[in-house]
Amino acid sequence: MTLEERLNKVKGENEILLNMGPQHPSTHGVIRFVVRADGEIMVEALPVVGYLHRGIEKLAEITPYTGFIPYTDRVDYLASMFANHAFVMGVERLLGIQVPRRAEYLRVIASELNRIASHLIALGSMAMDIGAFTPFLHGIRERELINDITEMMCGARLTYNYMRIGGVSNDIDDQIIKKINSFLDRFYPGFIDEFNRLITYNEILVKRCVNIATISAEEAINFGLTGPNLRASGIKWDLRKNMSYSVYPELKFDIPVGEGFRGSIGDSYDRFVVRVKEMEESAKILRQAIKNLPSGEIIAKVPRRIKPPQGEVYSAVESARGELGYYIISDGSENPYRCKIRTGSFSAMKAIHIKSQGCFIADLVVLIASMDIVAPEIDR
Amino acid sequence: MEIREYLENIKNSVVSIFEGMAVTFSWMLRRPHTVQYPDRYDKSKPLVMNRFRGILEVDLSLCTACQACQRACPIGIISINVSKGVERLITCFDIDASKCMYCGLCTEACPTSAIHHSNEFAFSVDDIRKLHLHFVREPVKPYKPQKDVSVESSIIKGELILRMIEQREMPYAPVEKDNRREERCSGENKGEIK
Amino acid sequence: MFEISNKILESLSISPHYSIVVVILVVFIYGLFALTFGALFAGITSWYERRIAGRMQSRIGPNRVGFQGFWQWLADGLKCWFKEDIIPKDTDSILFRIAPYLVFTGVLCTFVVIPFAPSIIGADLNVGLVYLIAITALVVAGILMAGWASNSKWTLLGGIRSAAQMISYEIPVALSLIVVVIPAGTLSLQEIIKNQGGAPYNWYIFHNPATFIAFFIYFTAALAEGNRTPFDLPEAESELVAGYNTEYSGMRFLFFLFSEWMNLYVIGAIATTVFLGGWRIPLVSYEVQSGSLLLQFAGFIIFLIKALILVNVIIWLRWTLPRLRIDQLMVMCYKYMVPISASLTVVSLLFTVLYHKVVLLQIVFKFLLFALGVFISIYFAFRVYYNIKNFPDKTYLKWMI
Repeated sequence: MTLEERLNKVKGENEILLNMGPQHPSTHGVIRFVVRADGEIMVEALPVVGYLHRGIEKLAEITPYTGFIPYTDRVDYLASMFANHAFVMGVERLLGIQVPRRAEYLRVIASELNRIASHLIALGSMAMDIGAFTPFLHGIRERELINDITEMMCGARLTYNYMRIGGVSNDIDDQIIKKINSFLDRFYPGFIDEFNRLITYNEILVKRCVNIATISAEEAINFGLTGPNLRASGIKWDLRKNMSYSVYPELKFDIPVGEGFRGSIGDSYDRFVVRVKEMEESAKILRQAIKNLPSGEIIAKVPRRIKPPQGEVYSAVESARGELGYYIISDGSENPYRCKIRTGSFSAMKAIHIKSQGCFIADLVVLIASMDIVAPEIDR
Repeated sequence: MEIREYLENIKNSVVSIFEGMAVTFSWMLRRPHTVQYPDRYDKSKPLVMNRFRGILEVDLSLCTACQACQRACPIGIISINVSKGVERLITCFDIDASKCMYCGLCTEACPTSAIHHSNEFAFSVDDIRKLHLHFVREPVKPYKPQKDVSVESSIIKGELILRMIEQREMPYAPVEKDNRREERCSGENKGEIK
Repeated sequence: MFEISNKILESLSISPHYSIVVVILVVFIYGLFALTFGALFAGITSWYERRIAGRMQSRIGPNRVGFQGFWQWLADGLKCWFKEDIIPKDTDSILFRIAPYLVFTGVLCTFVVIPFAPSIIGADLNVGLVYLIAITALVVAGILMAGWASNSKWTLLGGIRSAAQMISYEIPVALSLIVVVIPAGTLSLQEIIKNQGGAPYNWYIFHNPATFIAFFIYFTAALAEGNRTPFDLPEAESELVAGYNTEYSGMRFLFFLFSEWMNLYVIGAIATTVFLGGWRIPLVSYEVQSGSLLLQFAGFIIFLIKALILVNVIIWLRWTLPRLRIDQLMVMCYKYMVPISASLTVVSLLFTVLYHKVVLLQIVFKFLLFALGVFISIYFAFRVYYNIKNFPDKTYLKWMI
């Protein structure tokens, strides 16, 4: 029985079946939603995933450890530094290598830059789905400056392949630091203030996002949400503070939590504002990291062919979309035995399915955009 | 809805729309950030940075035939054949640039930077076989690295690869499996161009 | 019309039975003028809108096709003209084919009463305003037909939403125009302009506080009637993939777009006629203006400029604001605009009666409201200056890139 036949049996008298197909301007990637709607109000929006499955986890079984790092970029191409970091951290834990401090600071700088870039696109796409086209392009303009910085650092603008097992691949010099400082002077508080005045405080956006798909704290934990989605529901949980890794214990920053800024705690507007505030915190972290950048090596002494001892490890990183975790099982050979990737967007899909009941069809777009999902993360 | 909420709604809408319009109007008076490539931009500033990972290029005068790049590539697009007869000769150095993912792992593995990323990104071709690059025309002696002698590349970065892609002549035959690379590198027809 | 044509024919010694021919000829020529004006305006606005949108988003709009990209609209139009006219199989074919023409006609017929200059007007009906509001109801019929005949659930949703929106927002449009009819005392558009003065403080927008607010209500409600952001949910790309005109291709699709852009001009024209003084030039009285041909031409240009400023504001609003949801649209119409504009008519009535009794009050309120208008503009310029100062990008005022 196909999906359509099954749904046709279940649907009630007055309901219609709509298909927000894999190609749609506002699902973020190729995801399909089969919507059962009673007029304008939805009964359920069933997500159908798998259109972007590329078999990355299976490819890990035939690729050596160092060669797998470019593949991890493509799991979430908007926030690829985090994927690199999580995988590399896992292998280092298996091997028992200590990463030099300069390399750790460089990793933090690259990750926070990537977090700002990813949030700019997330907020811009949410605004664009609601109808305001200008904030997206302003965000892209700022992101181009970040792309220039990463191009100077590692040579690529989107899929960085910057981190290596034991450190990072390239060093940064004074020219790059000057460019990062000039970007930060421009970004916080100048750009964020303007962005807030343009779209965050706009009454129409507030009215579109407030009280839509409110996820309470208990529901968020039950769904398995992580990242800004979880923090917007009022829970103060951030892997950088609660399960610290790298040099985050030495940096001072705050964790923004949703408090019902214009509506209830955990609605879509909270998720929007939490991301804006996270961008501010990332700017603060960057300033501290650049000021305290130690000198030293950028990569530890690693054997040429990496063969970790038999064992398994789970390493997780606070990515822009939630908790990005790698569960690596090694059997002593050059390739991993199994590499399982846990992404934040995958848990958000079920939340969308359950929370879409009772919303308007126009609200489904807002809900999907506020959860900040990217399709490659769901289907790897 | 009470009167206070009603009036507050009106006030909030008017104020926020006013502020938003001021922001967009101020951006209308500023310079656009667009770079009008390829003909109307400031050619004195470089378009890509120094470390940009463009298409791969090999300077054979520096290649030591260690095959480290072949082992480092996760996809396996580099094929190198070294003949072990009387002397060691490189008979085949092929890169399938159509499959390259520009990760840079091969350039890090090379001890002399013979294989490196050029800064070229505009190399679209009309036949994919033009992107199967063969760097060796006739068997070449590998470079012997000496102590305390610095290595310097003899080619300008990017020139060789553009010349190779443009000047490669391809008969427009029906697309079939490209057996020529295996034939040439299998040892029987060493170094001949078909 | 007939008297003038009879006189002309008598002077040429042709029998007056042929006056009907002259009248039909004049009507035809005026229709051609309106069509050309409308079509040219629609095309050029599409280029202009894309350039303005580009500058607001810190990029350049189209600037390669012709000088500064001016022929872009012609290139787009010609491309659409040559496209295949696809009519899907299971559609209601007659309704599908007629729908764009109905929408186009509904908008084009409003050009009949727009007073471009003291003597350039299609027909100075003495119920001009009522005719305007009535003829735009044809657009509703066209859109419903388009939504239904396309045989797709998405387009049906879009068509029904759009029809509900347009019908609802006709009420605030009508009510806010009536707010001005009360002091003017007439429904004919040329008379309304005649009754205003030339200088800015004599326009009807500053006549009494009710008309001041009615200007903004008319503007917003007319935007909603024309399906423009922030009210363009029926044709929203990210939600319904272009709503009721999804299944259209080629020239039929362009008809929908044309009528939307022509409607922009109609909104601007009606707003300037009724609120902003139309073709009146400051310090020139009506008799002097209608006598001299040069001043009439100047009036034509001034009318165009005022309407184009309002068109600019509409384009500017589109690229700043997000969209309203359909139920929020309806709430705004029925809970905010209709009560407010209905009470504004009463307020305007009170003020008009008051002005008859105490003449001094009229001058006082006129200058107070004019000062309020000036204050708002200066405050706006101040906020723009604050924005420019707050961000390191400097101003760059050249428009040619």
